[in-house]
Amino acid sequence: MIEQIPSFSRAAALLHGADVGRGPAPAGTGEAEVSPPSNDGDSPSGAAPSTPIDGVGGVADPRHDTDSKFRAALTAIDDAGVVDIVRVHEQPARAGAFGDWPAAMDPRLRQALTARFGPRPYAHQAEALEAVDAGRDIVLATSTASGKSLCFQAPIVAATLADPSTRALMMFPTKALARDQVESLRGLVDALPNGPTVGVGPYDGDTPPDQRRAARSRAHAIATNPDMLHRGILPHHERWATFLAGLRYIVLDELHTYRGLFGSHVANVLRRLWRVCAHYGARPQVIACSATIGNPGELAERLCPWIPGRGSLHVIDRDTAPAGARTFVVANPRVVDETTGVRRDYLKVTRAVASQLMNRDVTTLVFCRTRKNVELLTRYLRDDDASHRVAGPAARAPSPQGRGIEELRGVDGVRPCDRVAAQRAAAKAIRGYRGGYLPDRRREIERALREGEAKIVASTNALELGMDIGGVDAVVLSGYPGTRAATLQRAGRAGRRGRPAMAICVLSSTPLDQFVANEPGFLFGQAPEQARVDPDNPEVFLPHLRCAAHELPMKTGDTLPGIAAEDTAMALGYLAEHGSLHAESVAEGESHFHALGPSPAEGIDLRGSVEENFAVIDPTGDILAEVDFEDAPLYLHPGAIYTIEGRPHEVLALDWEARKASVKRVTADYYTEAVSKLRVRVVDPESSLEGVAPPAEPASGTGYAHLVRKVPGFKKIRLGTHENIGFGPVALPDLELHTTAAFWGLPHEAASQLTSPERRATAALAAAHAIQHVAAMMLMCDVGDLGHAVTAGHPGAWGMALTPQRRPGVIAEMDAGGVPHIVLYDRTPGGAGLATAAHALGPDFFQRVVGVVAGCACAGGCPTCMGPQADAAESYASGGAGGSSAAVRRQDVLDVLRALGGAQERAL
Amino acid sequence: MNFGTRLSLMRPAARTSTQAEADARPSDATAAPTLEPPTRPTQRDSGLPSFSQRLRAATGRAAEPAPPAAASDPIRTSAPIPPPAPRRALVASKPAPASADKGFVHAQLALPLEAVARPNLLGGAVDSVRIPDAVALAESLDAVATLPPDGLPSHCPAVLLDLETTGLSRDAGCVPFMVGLAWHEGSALVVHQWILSRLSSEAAMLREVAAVLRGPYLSRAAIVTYNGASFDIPLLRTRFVRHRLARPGAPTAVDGRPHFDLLVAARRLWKGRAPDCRLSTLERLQLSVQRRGDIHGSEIAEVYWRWIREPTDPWAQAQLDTIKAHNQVDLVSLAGLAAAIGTRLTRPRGLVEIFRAADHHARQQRPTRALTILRPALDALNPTPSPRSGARQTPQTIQTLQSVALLAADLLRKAGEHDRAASLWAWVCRGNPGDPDAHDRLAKHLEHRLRDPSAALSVAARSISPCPRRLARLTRKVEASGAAPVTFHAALARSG
Repeated sequence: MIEQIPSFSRAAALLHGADVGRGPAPAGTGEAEVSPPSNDGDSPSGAAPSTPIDGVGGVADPRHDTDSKFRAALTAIDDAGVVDIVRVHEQPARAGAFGDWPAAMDPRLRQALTARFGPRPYAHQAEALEAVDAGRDIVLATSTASGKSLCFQAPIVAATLADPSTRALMMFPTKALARDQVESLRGLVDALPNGPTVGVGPYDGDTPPDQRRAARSRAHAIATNPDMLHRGILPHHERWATFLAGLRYIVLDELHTYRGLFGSHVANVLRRLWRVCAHYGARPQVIACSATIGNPGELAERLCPWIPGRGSLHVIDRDTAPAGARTFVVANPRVVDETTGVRRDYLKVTRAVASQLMNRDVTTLVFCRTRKNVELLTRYLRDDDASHRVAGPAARAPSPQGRGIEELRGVDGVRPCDRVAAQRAAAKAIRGYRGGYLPDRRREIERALREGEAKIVASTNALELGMDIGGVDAVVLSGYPGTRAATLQRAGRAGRRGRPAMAICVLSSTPLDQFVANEPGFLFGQAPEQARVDPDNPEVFLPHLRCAAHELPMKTGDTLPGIAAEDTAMALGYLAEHGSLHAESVAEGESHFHALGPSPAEGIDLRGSVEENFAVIDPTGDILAEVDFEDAPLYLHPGAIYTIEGRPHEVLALDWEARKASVKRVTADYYTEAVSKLRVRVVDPESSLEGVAPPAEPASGTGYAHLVRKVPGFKKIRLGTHENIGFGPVALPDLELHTTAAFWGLPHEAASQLTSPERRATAALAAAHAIQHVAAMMLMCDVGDLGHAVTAGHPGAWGMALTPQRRPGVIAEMDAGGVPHIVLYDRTPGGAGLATAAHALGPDFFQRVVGVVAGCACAGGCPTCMGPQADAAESYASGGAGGSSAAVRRQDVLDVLRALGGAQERAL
Repeated sequence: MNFGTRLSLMRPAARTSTQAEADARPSDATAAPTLEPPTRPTQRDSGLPSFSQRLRAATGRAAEPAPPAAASDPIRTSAPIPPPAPRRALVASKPAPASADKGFVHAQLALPLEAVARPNLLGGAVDSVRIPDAVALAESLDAVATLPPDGLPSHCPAVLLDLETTGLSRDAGCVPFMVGLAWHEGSALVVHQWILSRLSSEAAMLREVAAVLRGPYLSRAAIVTYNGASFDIPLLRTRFVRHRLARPGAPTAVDGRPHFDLLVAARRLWKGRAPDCRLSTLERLQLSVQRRGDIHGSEIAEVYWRWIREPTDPWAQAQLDTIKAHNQVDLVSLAGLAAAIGTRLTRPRGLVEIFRAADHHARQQRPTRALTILRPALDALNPTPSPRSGARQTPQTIQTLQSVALLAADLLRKAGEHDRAASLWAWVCRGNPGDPDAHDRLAKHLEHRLRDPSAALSVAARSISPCPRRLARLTRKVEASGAAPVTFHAALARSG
């Protein structure tokens, strides 16, 4: 629904023409280049929305101020002629709805809540508190900054005031969030009028031993993360006996992050927690908070499998917090070359858009897709800001005839001292934020944002979660975030209490982004995506069952929530047979033990990471940043420029064994980009292919996959222009991934119908894309938990992974008679049983894939159903066959999928 | 099946990192939207087989619906990856116990206090150990720490305790599978061992151990351990709670009585003088124990695990007997070491030991005892030694003497004997010019007790790390009083 607000009517009206267009926005948006109307300037009386907004005082009406800044920035962006504004989505301001504090609430708590949050709760908060009071498990799925924390903080404090022996366990996906919430809850406790104190503390890997003891013995509420619960608390539950016996609430914040394989692990950790709680006689209530996703209730029930049995889940997704008007602008970089269809670089366009907001003093968060873009953008925006600052005074005090003074100012008429001052100011106002920065730096940036010192922060999705950063006015999304849920979540970061907010999404030229530009209904017409977990994946469940047996022996009839006792018995029998558990007959049946050596939890990483991070070290020995293990060859090879908040450092040496990279500060006008090659091979453990004649018909099967990523060299790319100015070699170990995979060979008949190797490769790649996505959907994992590749030739031979960026090699091999094989592999080291499970689904699976591709709402194949190479196919088709290229494309993919399904059918 | 065996070096790029930041990496820039069918299935009707079927498939168990027949295809079809072959073929479950089998064994072994006709343990390791009698043990413990007001029972002052466990981390899977207790019965030290033969009988075994500890014979006896303060005792407490033999936080059978962890006293005596302070090292050096055919501590858990699953395996049985002997020797050594520590703490030999013992007593808040121990050493200092007499001593001896003097001075000052303390500080100041402790304390004494700021200033200024605030204050005081400056030696002389 689009609703206009008077102040935006002009912009919306002139942009509306571009809104409906499918395909590249017509160049005719030139009509939009209208000079600002004269009456647009200062007419607050007429322009102000009439909707009353609660919580905003009448002082100088900041709404209008922000509103006019947005308008000016949008006009300037539009006038700059670098983007087509393809869509403006308006959401009117909304008045809040209020409820009352529960009648039975402790007056001390009510006083503290009133002091901190205002006299009355929002209606959804009141509903939540009431449901918790009634003993129900709840899940809140309301927008960012709608006061979700209150809904678990208040019950925790209330319960502790009523009975000091009650305890609460708050789980957050990151340590930083946990610390943030500890501070927040302490703030509420401090506001209690000299009542009994409520002890709150973090309990994670960074907590020193004495504080750990204090947390165990004295804290009423602890804030931890799933990894610590898994490795630090449950295996030592006896030390937590008092805490667990008194456990009243389990708080699960940012529930939507527990999805895919990670979520499946977390669900099993929670199963173990529930079992241990039962041992101590506790039956805690669940208070879960989620960002807006399609299925918050279902996700909560899957993560806490005991809830369906209790039948008590109460889902609250009606957001009643007041909100200012929101504007969502979709901007598509203009085509610069009509013949090739090349568009402006979206990063440069992001820079231009953010600069416009920056120049108007609009506090802005810029979400980038990659860490590299964060660094580049930070640097560019600082440059822009510095020149804007020096341009200001210079423009005000021109020296028309002072040639001598001009000389003092240097070539561009700026005195060096002014320039330095401007650069310093820009470095304070513009910050970068991403993973890899040390916690102290992150806290400092968050503080700068909260206190208004930082005006623009370029960030990865690291700032997407609920860190307290105060409010920002605008959000710029540099590239479509990939899902509607993530788009909503990031855009929701804009907007202070009741003030207008704006989000501008600058699309890249990738097919997916262009699809978003062309499908108006895609972004706003559909519900956010669902979060999927599969706690019953045997490969995930069995290791956690071992942990459970370690925590408390599994006796006959013992099980984990959501699993039938006989299934558990079968799994236990299997583990005992394989020597993972020890079984003993007892009077009541059988007991299974794990009692040797350290807890099996030590060997199970919830996030699938196995290797230590690399430390980035400056010449004085200080650690500057951390880099994930598998990223080190890409970013820390000798000669690489490693940038921290826009400041370039050159990597002098990389000590692979010690996981250390030595860097020194440099002034470089270029950045580096590593080239990487991924090769895939499926190794079938059962049948050796050596010396065996190739089978008559390409087969399908499962096996171990061996992936090798090699970084042969790196490119030097000039800042600003992004031109390639050099190349260097990299000599580092290859990274290997051993995992499990499924493969399907394309039957000869289907292959022969696809006449050219290019067409075969393209269709196979599109089919592999669809297979991966449908597999993720059916197996309830994250799309990123799986990977796909197309290899030429038989499994067992090395094949270059066919990716949109790297196709020629494979095509050449296919030319030489190779048969495309689609490989679907687990991205977790050692595998997680996903690809093999997809293969075991057999012909039904392919029916499902065919159904999804055939049933996609697009006209003739889009990035959703056919993957990002849809455009590559298009360029091929238009250059080669001509005619109705889209229909041919989709038909090819469907033919491939049907042929694979048919082969599965025959195999049965 | 792959139980977290991590073969790989590479982590999937799209997985969240430890900071849980799912930073999109360059490869994700082209990530496509989630593909959803026109009608959204709920997760429960996603088309996956039931959990039982999946579990059967994953574990290779026969399923009621026949598994897809293996095709003639040379490359395997449809079946999941088979699990790696089991490491060892094992019976799925131990046979049900015979009715007499309690699931644990209680064994005892009497060791005469005289070193004659002792049973042969680990090649006669304890044959020559001097085992203290009840009275001697009580005296030794009295030297280690203050006894309760009513003392320890004379027939049996203490229970020696040592556990063998299936792990060292004290986590939920750390089972004390062997509880070794030793106490005096007449003229013998009797070692009692409870050995768990079925893990499910741990509660029963611990109940019996608790009953013995709480029984009339041992109810007032102290507990003596080696490193028990941080391992054995807290572990037993959690196991008692786990098996509901005690409520969380409530006293258990090991509480409500004195506990002597000999590791603390052993470290005070021998740290830096022995290669390390492990029981096996100290028993060799102090008690001349020579173990033959012993099992290393790190192998014990593994061997027990083997035995509990294959109790009839001759190798495992022999190894379990070794663990039993290991535990017995540990307990006897513990008794011997208690006596040795008691002797060293009451009758230290040599200057270093005198200092170590006195230091131990001082830290135990027993200043009188500490001063008594120090007296022979202090006598060696008196009359005030001339630099010449010191010249004949090695630097180490002088250093020890100065430590002795400082310790004694501290104790004397606390006892109110300020003048004697001052003379010791002065002695150290002469022998070790600049010693910060001695100068500091002596300056304080001169300033606050003798109210002699000039002398205090000249002493304080000689320290290698003088306190600037004290110097400033003293300078002010001297200027205000107009007192004449005092030389360092004169100041020392004034101190006695």
